[in-house]
Parts: sequence; structure tokens; C-alpha cells
Amino acid sequence: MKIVRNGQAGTLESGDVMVIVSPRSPEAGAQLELEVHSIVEAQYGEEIRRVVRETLSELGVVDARVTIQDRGALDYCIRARVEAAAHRATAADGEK
Amino acid sequence: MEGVTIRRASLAGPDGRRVEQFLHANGLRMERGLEYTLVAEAGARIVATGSIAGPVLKCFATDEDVRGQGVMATLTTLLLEEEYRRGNWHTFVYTRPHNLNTFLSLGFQEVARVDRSVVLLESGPESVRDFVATLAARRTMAGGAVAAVVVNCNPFTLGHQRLLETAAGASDWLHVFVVREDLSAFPYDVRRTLVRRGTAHIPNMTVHDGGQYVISQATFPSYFTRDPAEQVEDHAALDATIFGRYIVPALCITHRYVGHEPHCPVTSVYNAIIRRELPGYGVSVLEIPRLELNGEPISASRVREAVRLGDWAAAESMVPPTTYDYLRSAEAEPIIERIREGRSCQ
Repeated sequence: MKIVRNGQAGTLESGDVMVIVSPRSPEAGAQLELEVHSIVEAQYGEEIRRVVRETLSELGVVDARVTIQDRGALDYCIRARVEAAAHRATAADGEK
Repeated sequence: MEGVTIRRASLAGPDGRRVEQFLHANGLRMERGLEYTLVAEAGARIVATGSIAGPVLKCFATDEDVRGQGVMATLTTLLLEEEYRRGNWHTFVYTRPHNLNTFLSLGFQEVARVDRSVVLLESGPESVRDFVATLAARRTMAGGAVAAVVVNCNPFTLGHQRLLETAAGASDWLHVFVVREDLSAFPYDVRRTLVRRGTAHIPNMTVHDGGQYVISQATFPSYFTRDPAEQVEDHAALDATIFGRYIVPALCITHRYVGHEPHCPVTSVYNAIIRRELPGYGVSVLEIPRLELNGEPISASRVREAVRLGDWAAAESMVPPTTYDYLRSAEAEPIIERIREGRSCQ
């Protein structure tokens, strides 16, 4: 799945997460760049990153910048938001 | 959040007055240039508000009795969604320091703060770290006299040329930042091109995009409104802090040059704050007298006034040939037209 524009999903409500999936500059080589800001960063930062990477890998996204503003979301919520944001960031989704 | 509803407020109607009163009761002014405002209401009473100006979320206020109820989280989400609809993905929050923790907990990052008056935060796919990395990649030297100048050049005059020649002549290298924000009569691309053409003879100089962090709508909104009643000192101090904290180390800057400004109150406050703040970052500030013509300093506003009046001889006497050629070109016609109609005087 190729990320061609910015896509957003989620909210800043407590228990939710705001996710933005964005394209990266092409010359830098394909990679996932994760930027995680969380109220529970110290305890769950690594877990959040793992869930985000896993979700993107299932979608076949290998080159993207992902910005996460987490408000204590549970795994299933993070997955749903990342998936929705990634779909909105691809050309196939909806009208141009 | 129970019993609280959030909706868009039209500042033109009676809501405008209510929002202003609510801000006032919370020690804030309704700032200029607000494009979109939301109010949270409990019954007929406003309990929270927040607005958008460009990529900046600002004019936030909340009633004591709804704090901690997620009203700010919902309000901020809705404002961000509006920003994304407008294509602004890199967003800022401009607020009082007592709101800092609220926005940090919402996942915003602090860019800079001015004690007791204002804090600037940001969120989105880009950050000040990207800006610093871009600058650092264009660093030409570490050590030696490295000067910086910030210019809008609306348009580039003989005065600007003299300022840059002086700064470059006294330094090993000169970094020139052109204000990015497109709120001036001449658009950014034109302003930057005219700086390049008018300084082609200066070998030790780099021109940079001022981006979001050098006199932008986020750091310094009153620069564009030129309204001395705004919090010019807070804006200028925020801008100076960002310059000192991020730009100075990225480029190893040792000197900052500013043009003396006798007339514009906003710019003279800015110069004073720069002089006060930057030495704390190891930067010497030098104020250069303006180049004069007929006993009056040459300024871009004088050039625009000459253009407005159709006095091409006066305009030609205040700008380098590179700028004059542009002003008389077909490409400049729409801009000249706007200046003549007085639709953009800044």
C-alpha cells in the first residue's frame, strides 16, 4: 500500500488516539518513521510502536511517517485508527 | 462533557460579542485574523472557546467548572479536523503558559515559551527538528563571524541591499532568512527571487526560507497586522527565543544585523527585543542605519506608495535595477494592480 498524501483518523478524547499517516520524501529510502507522543509513553511507548508497526505491516505499508498523539488508547483502538488513517492516505480511497 | 454542546460561532453576529466577553472575562483579547471559532456551551452559557488563524489554534479559554471534563480535548480535536480540511497538517497552539500541561497531555510538543505570557506548541508530521536539520545541512562554517539577517523585502530595495552588503562585508558568512508567510503584497516566491537577483554580487551569503519559525503567523502575527495594540512584545520575544534556541546553534550564528526602524512601531519593538534577548544566546546584535533618499529612509512601504501613485521615477530611485525590471514586467502587473487598488498595503 503506497502512501501518497496525509491521512488522519481518531480524536484527542481520553482513551482514543489521533493518527496522521504521511508520505516521506522519496530520496530518503523506504522506511517507517514513527513519532509517538503519549500520556503513558514511559509505560506503553514501546507497546504502542509495536502495534503501529504490526498494523502497517499487515497493510503492506513500508514507507510512511506516522504521527501519534495517544490519549491512552487500547490496542484495538490504535489498530483501527492507524488502519483508517492509512487508507485515507492512499490514492485508492474515495474521490480525489 | 455532559450537557455541553460544541458549535461553530459566527463572529459577525451576536456570538462575536459573547465570545469577546468570554475571552475578556478570562483575561484574553479577541485576536485579529481569526478564521474559524468554536464555542462550547452549557445551556445558553459559553464554557469554552478556541479559534483558528492560519495553521495556528489560539484564543483558548475554559471556565473553571468544566476543566478536566474533556471539553478542551473535544474542542481541540474539532479545530484540528478543520485545519486538516484546510490542508494545514503542521499545526500550532498559541496559548498562555498555564495551559501548557493541558496541551502536552493532548500530545502537542512545546516549541518555545515566554515566561508568564505565551507558549507555542506544535503537532503534525513536521516539527522544528526538521527545520533545524534542514538548516544544519546548509551550514557553511562553524567558527568565524557568522551573521544572520531576517527580511521580508516587500519588495527588495536599495536599503535591503545596503544592509546585506554591510552584514556580508563584516562577516565570514551571511545567512539571510526571507519571511515565508504569504501575507504581503509581493508573494514569497517573488520576494525571494528579488533578494537573490539583488544580491548576486555577494559571494559569502545563503538565502533561507524562513518557514514557520521566523516571523510567521505562528510566532509573530502582529508583524502582519501591524497593529501596535496587539501583544507585539510577546510575539517578538517568542520569535527571538526560537531564533536563539534553534537557529543560532544550527548555523553557529555569532551576529544578528537589523535595519534601524524609526517609523514602524511594530518593527522598532521587534528590534528592541532582539537586542535584549539574543546576547543571552551568545549573539551580538548590530543595528544598521537606514539608507536615505532625500533625507528620508528608504523603505519597502515607500516603494509601494510610489507604485500606488504610479510615480515610477521615485520607485526606480529606491530599488536596484533587478527589482525595477521586475516591477515593470508583465509578470508584476496583477500585484501592481492590487497595490493600486489599495487591497494590500502591507
